[in-house]
Amino acid sequence: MNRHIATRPAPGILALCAGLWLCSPLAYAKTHIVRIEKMAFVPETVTVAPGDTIEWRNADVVPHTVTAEDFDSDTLESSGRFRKKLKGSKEIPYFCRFHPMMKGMIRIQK
Amino acid sequence: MMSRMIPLSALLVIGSLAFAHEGEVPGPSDAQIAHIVVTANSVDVDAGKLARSVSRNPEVRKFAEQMVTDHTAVNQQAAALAKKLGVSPQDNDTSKSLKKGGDENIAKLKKLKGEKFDREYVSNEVTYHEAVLGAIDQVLIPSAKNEELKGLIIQVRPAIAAHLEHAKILKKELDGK
Repeated sequence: MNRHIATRPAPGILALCAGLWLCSPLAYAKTHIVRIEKMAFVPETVTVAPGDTIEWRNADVVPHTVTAEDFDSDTLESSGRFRKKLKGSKEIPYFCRFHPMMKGMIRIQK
Repeated sequence: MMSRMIPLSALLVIGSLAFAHEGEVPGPSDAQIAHIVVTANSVDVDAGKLARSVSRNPEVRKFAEQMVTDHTAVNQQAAALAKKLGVSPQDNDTSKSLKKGGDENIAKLKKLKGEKFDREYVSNEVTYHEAVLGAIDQVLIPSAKNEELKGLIIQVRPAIAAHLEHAKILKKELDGK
């Protein structure tokens, strides 16, 4: 009697899994860069999709923070970086605690 | 007015550098520029440390803390750059005048308290940052020969401009009381 012992998933199942992954938001999650330079967040407004990540990079000589209602980067020294993954669908205003005139906006849109 | 006497002396010296740059007298060397930058930052750090310990106004204290943080950071970068370039900051008449003016300002502020202290401190910060910004634009950037030193001063300029705007807003709030 022949026995067929499956040692790996059938090609069809593999293709199905790949297709499902490609359709998921994870496959398209991006990282957006916001530069902190000349005492400003550049760009001032960044629009992202749920699951995307923003990375702030301090290109100024002086330290800054990225501070919103729900998160705070703590002190970002010159050349410092801060990453935040965004969820939901909303607008998140933020600012620098050290330089309150520095303001930015995150728009999370599906 | 008393509040303008100390920074005015620094203004006059810094202003004289503008004439120097226009060709009558050689502008400051990179070593002298480095010393001016460090001294200018140190003067404001000292004033900021005094203000954050004396002022009872939370906005003034926050501003003072910002001055200490930012000017300390700039000095750290300036010192690192000077070391990298092998430049020994050279004392000069401008930095001596800045230091003298700064010390006199501190002595004057120490005699004040409450709202008088806050108004004097912030008013001086407006004048001081105006003078420093003028010196950056008219003398330090044009005179700096080393590109990295020039780049650092250019990079710092927006912070000085932001400090000036913040000080002006604060002064307006204090004058409105």
